[in-house]
Amino acid sequence: MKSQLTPREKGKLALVLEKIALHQTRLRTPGLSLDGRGIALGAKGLVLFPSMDRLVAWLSVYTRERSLEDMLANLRIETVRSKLGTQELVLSFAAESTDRMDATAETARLVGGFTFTGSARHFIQYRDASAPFGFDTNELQTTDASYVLYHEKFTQSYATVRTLPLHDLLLTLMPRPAPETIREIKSGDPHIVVAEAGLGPALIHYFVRSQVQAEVALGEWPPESAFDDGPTRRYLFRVAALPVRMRALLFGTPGITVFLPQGPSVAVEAGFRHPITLRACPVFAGLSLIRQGGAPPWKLDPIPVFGDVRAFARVDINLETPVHDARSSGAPDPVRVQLRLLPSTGAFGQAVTASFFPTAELGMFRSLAYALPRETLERVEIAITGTGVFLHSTDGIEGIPLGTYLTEIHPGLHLATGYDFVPKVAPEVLQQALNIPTSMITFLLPGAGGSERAIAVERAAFVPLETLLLEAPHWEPAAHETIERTLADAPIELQVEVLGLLPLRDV
Amino acid sequence: VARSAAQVAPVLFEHLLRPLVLGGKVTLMRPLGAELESAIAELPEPVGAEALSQIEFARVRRVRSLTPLDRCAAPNASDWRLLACLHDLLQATHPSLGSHANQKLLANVEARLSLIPPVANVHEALMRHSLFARVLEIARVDTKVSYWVGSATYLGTPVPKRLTAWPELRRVKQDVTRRDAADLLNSEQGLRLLVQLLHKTPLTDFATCTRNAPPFQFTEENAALIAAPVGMKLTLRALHALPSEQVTYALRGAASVNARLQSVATQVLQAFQA
Repeated sequence: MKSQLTPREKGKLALVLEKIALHQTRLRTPGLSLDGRGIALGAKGLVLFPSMDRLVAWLSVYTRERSLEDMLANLRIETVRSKLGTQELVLSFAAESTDRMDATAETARLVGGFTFTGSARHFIQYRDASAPFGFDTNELQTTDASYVLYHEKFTQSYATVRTLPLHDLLLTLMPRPAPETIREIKSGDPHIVVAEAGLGPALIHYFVRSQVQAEVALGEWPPESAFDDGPTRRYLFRVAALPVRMRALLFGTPGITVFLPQGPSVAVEAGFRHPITLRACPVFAGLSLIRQGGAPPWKLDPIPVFGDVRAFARVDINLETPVHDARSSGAPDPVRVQLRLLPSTGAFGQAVTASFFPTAELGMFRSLAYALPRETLERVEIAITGTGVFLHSTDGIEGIPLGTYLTEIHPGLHLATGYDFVPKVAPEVLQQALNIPTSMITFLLPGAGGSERAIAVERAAFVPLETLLLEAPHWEPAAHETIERTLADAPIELQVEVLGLLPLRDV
Repeated sequence: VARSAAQVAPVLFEHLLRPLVLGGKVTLMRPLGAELESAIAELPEPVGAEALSQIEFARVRRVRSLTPLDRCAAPNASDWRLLACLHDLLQATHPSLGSHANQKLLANVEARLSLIPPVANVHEALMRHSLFARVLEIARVDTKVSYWVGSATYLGTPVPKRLTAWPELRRVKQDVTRRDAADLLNSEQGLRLLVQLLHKTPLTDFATCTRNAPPFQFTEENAALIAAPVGMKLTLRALHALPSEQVTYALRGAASVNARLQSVATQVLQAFQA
């Protein structure tokens, strides 16, 4: 029987969305396809927000757990207008995976947004608990609008009014008062201090006198009005670690503003918190300093040159004191002595964090690898050099009974365990004397006949032991054959037959 | 022509109950109505023992997945009434039935379903489950055929061979959609009736709790089943055959405003997770 669509069927078609069934293979919406798990997914994801505060709430909640870095390349925020004249906001991005879409949809549901997926113009409601595989539409609207959104509750077309860059949005949001940000500052946290032009030199000498490690730059901003003579200049300080005793002075002095960095290129005024986690939004170029009370942010692009404050220390020159001519006395005898390693007489206290053995013992190490526990294989790193093999683990290396053990006496500087070096200078001094780049780890090893060796290995040369250890066996694919399920139930299929005249005569 | 119960009962068995248990093609008659339904239920033996033996093995297999029983009782009067209601409910999805007739038929089924008493004991629930366990698996295959000069839609009927002949030359394209019972009854009243029908077979209601639609709910009928220790045991066995995450999700989602049912829901969830 050829069945044309009845009015009832047409009524059902009016419900534009259809739930996608398990094992469904065909979809009607262009650009929508099924992923490996059978979930409908388009190239793009889209979230519709009824107002700006919902969008900000979404950004706030989303960035608390995740970074926007992966989405930024295709992220667009647009103000759109429906046919009814209402203005709403649309956030679109590359969908890429259902994991990203699920996280987005979950957050959107929390803040009252609607999540859709699609390709260019037509976007279908993303899956929810009632339709775990998503939705498809049975009727596409013909329109020139920028977006057509199909939802269970509405179908609406929207025209783009304007695009709102995320960078501009973040800079226009006012930070909220949060006094706890000052209390939570740790002694090693970096600060950015901005001082008005008149206070800058005094602050430089204050830092130098107090031996605070800081860098200073002079920032220039265009004049705020036509009545200003020239650009506004302020001193910028990058303070690596601000002593606690100085906080009261810096936070309380008018003309000095302290900012706490929220990423490499953005900082927020101390005592205030930006509604969005800025570390998750790497959209800033140069340096942006976000101020309280709706004051426009200070932007510096490019970042001015910073110099060590010690270079600006006050220098006194006494022109009357005669200069002694050193040449007449001749060069003094050098006082340098050679570094030597001597067996230690002290207690064996520090943890063994590295070991070294010659390349010839690599065969023995291979045999030993079969007996090593999994934890050891996970945490140990190995570097194979022309001199020998180095093993390194911050949790201790005693689990591998091979080679010469080494102990870390200073970050990046290892000394053979059971040895002391003479002359007994501080480890930092020894590090400076060796003048080895920080990208390298140095190992001090005793040699035969008192010839000590200092070997430096690039940190990048150390790779996890477990990734190098296993030689993968050869494998071959085996094709499987489908086994017929003898006890499987046959499907139940409803077959429609002609009803005849007066079908309800018995009802 | 007036139909008698003795004529209709074997047809109802052959074309609905038999495929419902064994699988196959379900074909429906003209809607039965209340009088014919009562007449079938009052028959001393609507179908013979030989006919019932055809579905006995499949029913025992279904029952033995929950408890070691070797015999299944013949369908009782309530089972036949429920089967007649299911017949008319499925007939309400007929594409050529107008909206007015559809509403009238659904209202009639609703009234008849409300007169069917709930299961009297666990054994009756188990026997009814053996008959109606696959009720949500009933599906209609809709086919849309597109060819070079047009297209045609066939709802639950096979496509004539002449339309699919020379597929490459005529650029024939077939779009086959399988729509299950919940999808076919996708209206507020239709889904409500499907829920009402599932409440009459509470073990089936639990055994299909992970379904997409209609969503599972705790009611007096299924709460009465798990109030009995044996009923609870059979229910848990039925639930453990389903994916545990989906069961937990469904049971949690079936929260009720009724405090007693809420405590029952908590009790089932705890017993399932134990």
